[in-house]
Amino acid sequence: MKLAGSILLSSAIVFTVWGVALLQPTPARAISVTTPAKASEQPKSTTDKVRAKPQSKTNQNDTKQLETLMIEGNTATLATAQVEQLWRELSNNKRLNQKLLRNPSAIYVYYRDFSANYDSATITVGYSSTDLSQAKTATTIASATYDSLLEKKKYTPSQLSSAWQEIDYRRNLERVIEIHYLSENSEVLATEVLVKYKEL
Amino acid sequence: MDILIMPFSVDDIWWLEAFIDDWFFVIALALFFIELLRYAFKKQITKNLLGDSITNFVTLGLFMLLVSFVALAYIAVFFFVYDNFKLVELPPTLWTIGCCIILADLAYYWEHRFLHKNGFAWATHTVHHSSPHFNISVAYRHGPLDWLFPLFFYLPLALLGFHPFIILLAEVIVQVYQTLLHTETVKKLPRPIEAIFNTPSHHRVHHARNTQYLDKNYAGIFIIWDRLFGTFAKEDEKVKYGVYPQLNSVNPIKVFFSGYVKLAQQIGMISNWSDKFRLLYKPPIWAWQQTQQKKNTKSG
Repeated sequence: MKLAGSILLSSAIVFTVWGVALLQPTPARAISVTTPAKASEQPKSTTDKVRAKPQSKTNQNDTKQLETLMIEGNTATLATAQVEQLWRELSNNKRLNQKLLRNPSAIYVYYRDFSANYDSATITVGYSSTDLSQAKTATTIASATYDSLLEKKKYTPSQLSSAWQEIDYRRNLERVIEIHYLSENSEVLATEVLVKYKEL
Repeated sequence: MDILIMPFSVDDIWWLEAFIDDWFFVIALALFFIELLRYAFKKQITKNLLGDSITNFVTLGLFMLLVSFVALAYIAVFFFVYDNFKLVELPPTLWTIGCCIILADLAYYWEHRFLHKNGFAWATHTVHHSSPHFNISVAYRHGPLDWLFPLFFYLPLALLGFHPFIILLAEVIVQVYQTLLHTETVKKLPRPIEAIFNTPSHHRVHHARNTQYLDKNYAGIFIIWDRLFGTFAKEDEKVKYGVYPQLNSVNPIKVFFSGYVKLAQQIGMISNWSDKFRLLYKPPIWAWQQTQQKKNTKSG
């Protein structure tokens, strides 16, 4: 084959393989609900332009009282950037999903016990126990007053991701709760992000 | 399927790249030791073979010294392109890594072909080809600018949205695979493997100076690139290794700089400025043809 032909064929191969890379099922698509899976990626190691320019206004001055909440789902201690793994596990958790009384109204993502550099945390992704027929191993989120990082609204994944930059990491971060409100079709209608700092 | 789309952190990918880079060298040394035992068993160990092997590892040391000066800048260029010009952002999954390895291997093919077809690039790559032997140590026989040319061929991958650490990992995987091909211990592998993958047999052909083998088998992992683009040759005739003219030296400094010293000499001998420039971009065979023409003119 002549050089020009080889280069043309190479270009075709490049675009085909690139297409295959682009068409990979993302974890967000792999789970049954449309999740803002990247919402919890902390902007620490990449220099993503989108993350560098937060597009959403956060509401650090607003507070919100959240009553004691029991959630049941999948829990692991892992890098916060890998939270998508838990979303997928929740979707594949047949035992738990069979216990759903109705289409869940929200999915909760509960971060606590952060590592010193806030890279990892113990994370639970799950449903409220009120959506389940029984909740034997529920995680309790104690009643507390939270700083509202993002008010209940529809956000893009990059806006959610940017919101994590607004957390005041100088203060002792105790927990972060993302509440993803779902439609009848299990699509995310709105998201709310709450932060609680340790009281000194 | 799930494992293919499970996202890694980029730190994990960097760790894997460094792990392969470090530990594969240890494995390669062990394999080289086995090759030496084989040479000893066949009573083929000579002073020249030992000297050549030591020279190969010294050139590796010199190469790494140069790399230590430019490594950060090399990585920074990838990050600059990725952060500012990427068309999309591909997730750090096994799926993405697999696609990146295929594209990095194709990039390797073209980079390798370029190294053989451009006078300035050949001046560094000729060092790798100048050994009259063929064993794992030859894989580590480097020229001074071997780090430069991959940059131009792998950089488009950052533009396509592959994270720089994934590109570096793919680069290392292609290099590691390539390294394993430098052996006479393995003759031929089963036909389906020889049909799809690059093998020691195919790579021996690439290192040959037999006329019918010249400029063949540029592949890294997949020999299908050579088959597709018409640069494939099968190993039939016994391979004679090295370059024309033979270097005949085990002096590591002389070997390391041999390509550029020779290129400088060739440029110095030519009075015509356009021909001097041609030496830099024309294939190395062009310089040889010019020399032959002059000889023929003188003798005629």
